[in-house]
Amino acid sequence: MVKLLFRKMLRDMKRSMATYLICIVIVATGFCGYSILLICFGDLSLSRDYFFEQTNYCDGFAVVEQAPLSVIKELQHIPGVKQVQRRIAKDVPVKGLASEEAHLQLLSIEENGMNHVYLDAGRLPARDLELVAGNGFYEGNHLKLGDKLTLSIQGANRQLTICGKGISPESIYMIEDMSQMLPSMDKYDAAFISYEDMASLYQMESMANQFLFSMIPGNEFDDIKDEVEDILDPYGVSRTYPSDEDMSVSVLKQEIDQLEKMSFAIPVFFLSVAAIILYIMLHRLLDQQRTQIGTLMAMGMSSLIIRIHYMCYGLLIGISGGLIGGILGNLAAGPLTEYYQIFFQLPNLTTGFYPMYLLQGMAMGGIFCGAVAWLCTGNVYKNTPAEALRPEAPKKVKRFILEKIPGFLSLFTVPGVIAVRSLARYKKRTFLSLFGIACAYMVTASLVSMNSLFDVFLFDELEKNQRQDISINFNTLIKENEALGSLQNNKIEAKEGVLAIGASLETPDAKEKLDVTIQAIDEDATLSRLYDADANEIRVKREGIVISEYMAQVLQVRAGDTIILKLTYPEEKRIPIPITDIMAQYMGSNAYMSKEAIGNISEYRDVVNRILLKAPTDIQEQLKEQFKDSPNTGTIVTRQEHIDQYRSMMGSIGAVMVALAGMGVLIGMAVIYTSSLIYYEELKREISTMMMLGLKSKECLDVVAVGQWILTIGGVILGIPMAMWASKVISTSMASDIFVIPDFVDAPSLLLSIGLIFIAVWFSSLLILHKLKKLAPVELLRERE
Amino acid sequence: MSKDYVIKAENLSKVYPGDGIVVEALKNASFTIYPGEFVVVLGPSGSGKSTLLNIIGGMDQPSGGELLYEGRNLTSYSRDQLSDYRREAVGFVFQFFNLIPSLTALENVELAASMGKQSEDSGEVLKWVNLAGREKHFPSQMSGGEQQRVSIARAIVKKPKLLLCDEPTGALDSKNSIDVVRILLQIRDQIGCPVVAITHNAGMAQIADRVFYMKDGQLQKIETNEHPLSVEELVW
Ligand SMILES: Nc1ncnc2c1ncn2[C@@H]1O[C@H](COP(=O)(O)OP(=O)(O)O)[C@@H](O)[C@H]1O
Ligand SMILES: [Mg+2]
Repeated sequence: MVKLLFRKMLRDMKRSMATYLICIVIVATGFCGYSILLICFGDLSLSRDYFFEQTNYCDGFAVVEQAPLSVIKELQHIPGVKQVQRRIAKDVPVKGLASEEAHLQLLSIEENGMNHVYLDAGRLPARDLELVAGNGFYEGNHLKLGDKLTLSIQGANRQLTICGKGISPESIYMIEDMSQMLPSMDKYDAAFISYEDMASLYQMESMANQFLFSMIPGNEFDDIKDEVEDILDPYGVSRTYPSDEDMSVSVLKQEIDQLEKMSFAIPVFFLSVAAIILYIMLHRLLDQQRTQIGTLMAMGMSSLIIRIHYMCYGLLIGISGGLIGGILGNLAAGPLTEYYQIFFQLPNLTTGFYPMYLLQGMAMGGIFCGAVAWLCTGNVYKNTPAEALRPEAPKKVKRFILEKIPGFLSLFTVPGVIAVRSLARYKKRTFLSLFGIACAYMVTASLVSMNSLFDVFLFDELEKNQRQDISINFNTLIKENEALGSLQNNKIEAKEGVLAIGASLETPDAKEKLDVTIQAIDEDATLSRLYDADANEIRVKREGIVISEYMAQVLQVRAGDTIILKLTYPEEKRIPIPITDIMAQYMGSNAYMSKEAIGNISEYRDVVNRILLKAPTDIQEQLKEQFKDSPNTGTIVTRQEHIDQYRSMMGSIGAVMVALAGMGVLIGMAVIYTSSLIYYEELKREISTMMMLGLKSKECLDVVAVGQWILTIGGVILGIPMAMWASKVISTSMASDIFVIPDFVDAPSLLLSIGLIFIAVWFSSLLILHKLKKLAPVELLRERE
Repeated sequence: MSKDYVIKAENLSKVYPGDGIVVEALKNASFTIYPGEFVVVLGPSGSGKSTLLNIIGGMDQPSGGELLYEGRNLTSYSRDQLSDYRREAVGFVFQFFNLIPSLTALENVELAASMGKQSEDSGEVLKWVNLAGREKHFPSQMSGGEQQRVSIARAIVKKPKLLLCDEPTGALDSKNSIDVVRILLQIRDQIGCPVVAITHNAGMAQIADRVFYMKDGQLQKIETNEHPLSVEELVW
């Protein structure tokens, strides 16, 4: 019996293969995405864990001005601390390379110590001015083992030999500060050097400016932070933080976590679309097979078995979709992992074949689609066989609500009127199709808009907020009037100093905490501009602070509230400060204050570390020449360089987005095609009658098409708010400390998506027309089931 | 006639609550069906014939009265018990054959056979209804007469205690109808299970052992044919 019922199912499915295949494809797409992301997540996490273990990555950092090594003993006595290690870390400009701004973060390492370098080639540095260069820097600058690098250390040029290349957890993703989104490792990377060399280069014998902590298992670095700060207080402690707050490590962590987050959303979405199609299809199937069901019941088959039989249709779709998706996912995960590798350069990153995801896909797909089918067959229980065998009482022809509008029906031809009435007759199906199309529209619109999102970022950062043509970044604080004074060039139209310092914001009860960069600007700054959510310009005040919407949300504060600003330099200080405004900010984690405000509450008076210029970019070379020998000058960046950086990021992500948007359109087509197909099947009899009366196939197409257009327009109207809602969900779920995604759905994207959906409708009409042309009316009228 | 009965009905009635109007499809029908007899139910359309057959076959519950099958009270059966009763005891033949379109002739019969406890060989039964060689054909590839014979094979493969036919010749031409009737008589004679067949055709009444006359939901009279005609004598 099982075998026969199975055969029946396969043959039934073969008869409307297209619709079942569409369903399978959608389920498969969902699980393909799911397994791709999870495999990628697994690969990256494994590789990260291996990497952290190999490099003996520490549990916490303390950064000071300078401290004698004797303090290590004291630190080691803090309960819970396993080991403390000295380190000297310094940013140093590199001369004579293609990029004049090239600089390295020199990090001292210890034999078998913490935060070691993972060697890619060469050997570890000996104590005679050797260093291991970061992979990105090494490759970006086409260096060779044995090459000498000229480092500008404390005003003097020193030659160091490259003895190897490698990376460490801190240099996976090297960016100088949060406002720079993409690393350019050829310009800034880490380099590893022995402590002894480092100490002698900087005259820091028996000194260190960083301490690395490892903890005894079961203890958290966060718990001993205060003690560490107390001990290091005399030495100008500026930051103590657990190791996962390291910029590079936290970017990696966020990326990896995001993969996992998304991996669950994707199948949920695709399964819901599949559920809609499946539900519509099975409903139709059960209607069609009413007599068969009655007959099976008459033969004494129990309703339960019949129900299970129809559930198997869903089960089979779900299982095959899950299986195919899992296989495709396994195949496609490799390239995606490699794509991430471009960013992260993790060592030992391998990707294998994970049969687990096939099983998971099959189980989840099967259970989900089986459940949908099970729900569909709920009515099988209700009928007695006698009822099931009686032909269903013809549904009353109902007037469509819209028919009440005077003149509505006169818009349509006779076939159109049939279509409109059939929409009204099959309410549930109409509603589901409407919802399916709305879903398809939602995907298309949100994905299409995601594309424009990057323009929003670009615009927001580079057109609206940052108005400078050139920015000069200094390595240390310099007197503002001296810095501005040194820039005497009549081509410069405007120059403004900015002080950017790390700080944290806390709620008064210290429950919520957020690391930010304070940007201190002039009250009447013209080159840094701030806007609120309604695009009204806001200004920093003589007192108080302007924070971003994201910060306000995390800290749960509003304009007018007071928060605690925690500064760590020259000593730790907690200052209550009023929030004057909340601004919109998509990227970076900048809070703005006036220079006056920060000067009033701290030692940061009349100093800056960044100068913004409004000037023709051709003076960039002049400026570079001017600051060439100044040890304090880090980078001089033009607007164009900034834009190029963003573009390169968009290029890679854009391709992924276009692929995703294409998928949205395909889903739309799938939903629209299935629902047209079902309407067509339903109205076959009416259509063939009309054909016998002499209507052409094209005219008959109206019966299907008019219904489809009404559904599509309705679906789009429903889909617009859904797309907006989806964008809200995406933006809140993807928000992180580094960037916030705005509600990004915009009118052009909505219109473009309408266009795409309409093309899908038109295309599925063509397919139906093709079917209509093959239709022999006589055959149809004879056919009965 | 033997005292042993297959079905015994006492004051059976069936009421359909429609919207507004209540239809009394069957009113106080009392009768007995004995092993090995051929009963024909005659009556105009809408007179309650199918309702009667459905209740006998456990396809529907009566609204009142009592129905016994070999001493067991069907009126007290649950849905599942009725389902078991249909599977074990009843064979159905419908006017429009109701074969499963996606199964072949043989598979349709096998499906029924797989549900019985001591079923015949499906292929043999198909041969018995003169369909040797058509086993692999789908219903859509067969004529109405052939389909009806498949459906008869399906009904008898599990050796039912009772064969119920609702207008089995209603969709067939005279030649095919006579073939079907011949097979039904063979079933009575060779298998010994009683056959109850609904028909519009008065001719068919002449071959029956007994004829039930229905009108307006009432079983008006039961006639016994002392000398039923043979199929050869039957004029359609
Ligand atoms: N499920 C039902 N709901 C309502 N009325 C029904 C139902 N089944 C049968 N009837 C009504 O009961 C009466 C008897 O029907 P039926 O037994 O099918 O007659 P016959 O088979 O003699 O043509 C008819 O009037 C019919 O409309
Ligand atoms: Mg009837």
